[in-house]
Amino acid sequence: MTFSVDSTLTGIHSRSEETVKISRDFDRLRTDKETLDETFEADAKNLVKLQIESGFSRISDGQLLWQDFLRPFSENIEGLEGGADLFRWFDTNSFFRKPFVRKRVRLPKDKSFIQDYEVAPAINLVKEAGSKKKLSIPGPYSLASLVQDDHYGSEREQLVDDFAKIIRRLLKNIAILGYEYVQINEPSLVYRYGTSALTSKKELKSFISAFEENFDSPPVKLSLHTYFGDCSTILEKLLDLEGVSEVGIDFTQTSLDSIDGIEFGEKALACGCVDGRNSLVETPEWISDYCLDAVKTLEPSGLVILPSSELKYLPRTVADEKIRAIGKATSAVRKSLN
Amino acid sequence: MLAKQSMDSAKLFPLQEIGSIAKPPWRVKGVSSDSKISESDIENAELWGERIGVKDYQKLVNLLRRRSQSSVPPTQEEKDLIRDFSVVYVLALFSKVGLDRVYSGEQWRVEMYEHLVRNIQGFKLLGSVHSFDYKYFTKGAIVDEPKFIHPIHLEEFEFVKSNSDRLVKIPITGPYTVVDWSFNEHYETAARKKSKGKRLDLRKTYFEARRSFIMDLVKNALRPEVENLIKNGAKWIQIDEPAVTTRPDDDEMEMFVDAINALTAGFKDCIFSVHNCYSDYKLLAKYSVQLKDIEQLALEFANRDSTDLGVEKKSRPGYVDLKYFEKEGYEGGFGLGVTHVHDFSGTPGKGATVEGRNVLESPKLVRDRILFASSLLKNPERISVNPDCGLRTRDWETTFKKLEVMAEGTELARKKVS
Repeated sequence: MTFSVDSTLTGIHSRSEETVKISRDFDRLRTDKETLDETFEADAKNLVKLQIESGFSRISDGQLLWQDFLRPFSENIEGLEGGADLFRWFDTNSFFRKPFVRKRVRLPKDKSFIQDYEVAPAINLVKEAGSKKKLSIPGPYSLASLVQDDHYGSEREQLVDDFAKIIRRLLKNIAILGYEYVQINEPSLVYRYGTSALTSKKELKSFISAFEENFDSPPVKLSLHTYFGDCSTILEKLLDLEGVSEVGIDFTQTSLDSIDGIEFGEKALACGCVDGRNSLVETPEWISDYCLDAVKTLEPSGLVILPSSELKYLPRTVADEKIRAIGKATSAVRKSLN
Repeated sequence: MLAKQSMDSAKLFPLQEIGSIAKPPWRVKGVSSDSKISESDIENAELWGERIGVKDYQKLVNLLRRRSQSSVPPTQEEKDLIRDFSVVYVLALFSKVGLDRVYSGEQWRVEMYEHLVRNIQGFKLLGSVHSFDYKYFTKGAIVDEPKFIHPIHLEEFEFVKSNSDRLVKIPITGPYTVVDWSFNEHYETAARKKSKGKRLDLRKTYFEARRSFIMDLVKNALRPEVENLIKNGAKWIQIDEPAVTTRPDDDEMEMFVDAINALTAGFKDCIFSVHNCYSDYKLLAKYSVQLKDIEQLALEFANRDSTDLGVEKKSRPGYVDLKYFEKEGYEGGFGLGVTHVHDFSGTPGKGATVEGRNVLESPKLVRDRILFASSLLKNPERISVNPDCGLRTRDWETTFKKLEVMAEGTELARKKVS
């Protein structure tokens, strides 16, 4: 049986210098919306083409229209009110507008909003190339950790569960849009400075139970990715989750030595060894050697090579170089393992 | 320590600026090859020149008028003159409101990070990185050992010194912030090479590489710069460290302390202060006592405070964090942020009003903030007064009002204390 080796992006990609210039001009009322839209379209198309050329098997439009990772949610979920205040996105130098929870959160009936944040012509290229569409979304625990709760109070478990219910319904919409892969990003599970499931058994339990209740048989292939922190102490719990095909690790934060001995079994490993926050571009040889060592150590059922985090923290040329390196490494690992 | 700080001012609660001021529209367009000076830009230069008493401002106005009618790009001489005038305007603004410690409003600098790394060998600017919405910043990487190649702030300092009768306080971007805002290619590569053959612990190599980077940056680039400034008469250097506490590991905070101590050790006759904002003060307080040569911490407080009047704890939640520094035994001075510098959302209390996206504190609110801080610190001589941070995101009208209110409120506090 062939050992599957895939490659993909982790979330929001960086914008090209041209998009930076035009969107700045738009912000300063120096250009119009049409020019802005055309620029984003060209940018996303180039990115999709690059992923295809580099041999990526799961392709996204770079989620370039997502102003921050929570914005589509804060703009569309009932009970959430878009925040005006900027908050630091973990320990990066990028910021997000923290939404307020004003009442119980729910997805309004028949409200499918993901397509409003797609660059449609770029997404069409994925289809035309016969490739598979992939989307990254925030997980229920990170959503609950990153909003300003003015409603649930001590019933935080309920908030996590309500977000999980929203995502469960959203996954159906996402599947209808033609996505085959959805990566649920859960940085808050492992981030050590803020609220973190790493430091509270109760928090971890609430995440596990919300996940198990809502994602046991998802309509898409589901990956759970942890980053910005060390997942070694909770990895085994994540590997037990039904419905998740892959578990992702940020190897810039988790050492392979610390999880040596944990077996992935039926789960695939999403190997985040390419640093999403450093401009030093890893060579394809270095990436493939690291991945082969990880496969040998953890014995997963498959491998996905991806950046440790979103690549939006890098200038575009560097981020694109990382895509090329991942593509070459994927091909080398495939050859080596099959 | 306090005696040294009050050398420059016999007054209680000296007033100081803290960072950058918005570049006037004529300054931005005047040095650009593809922007045209408009009539409203000229009016702006005239209005402010008159209002804050800029000597010879007509010379600028005449130049701007010539530029507005010209189809050729500005000469270097014209650009320099416009740039110099923008500093003169800032100094006149500060003088008009009565600040005791001043600088250029960073009119000569592109931006606090870029200005520095463009002038240190070993850095390479890589491109734009998303900050939020349609806002971006330029980020660089260290690709070789950092090295001092020429003075970075000296010309600017000397220009300010020759155009002001106040104490000149030079802001420089601190080593921790430079390292935190840069990609670390050179030292990461070296750290990875050292582990060749062995399985890499990327988190461990990250810390090793970061520490090597910061200590080399101080030794080879920032310390020579500071030494040169002091040799040429600098009496006060403010080290801007907005990135501190972003990563609240002990390793990171110790790295910050070690870098600052290495930067400031052994210099006589110069006061060093650290500016930090929007930060975790409990954590900063823990390490503040280890900063051997830092005589003042200039911090943002108004942003985290209420806008109600009062000198009780419940009215002044933003300033309660001062207790962490007291608890840790910090005995130095404070640059007390008393005016908010960003957009304001929400309903203001009785001590402020809102105009558009700006909250305008009343003098009484500023007074109460200073009085509450004085009561916590016991010794009011430890307090200097400043805005939370640079006012560059506010227009000049708002900046002027905020600085005036700061001066009036401080005067009220002085009367109350004396």
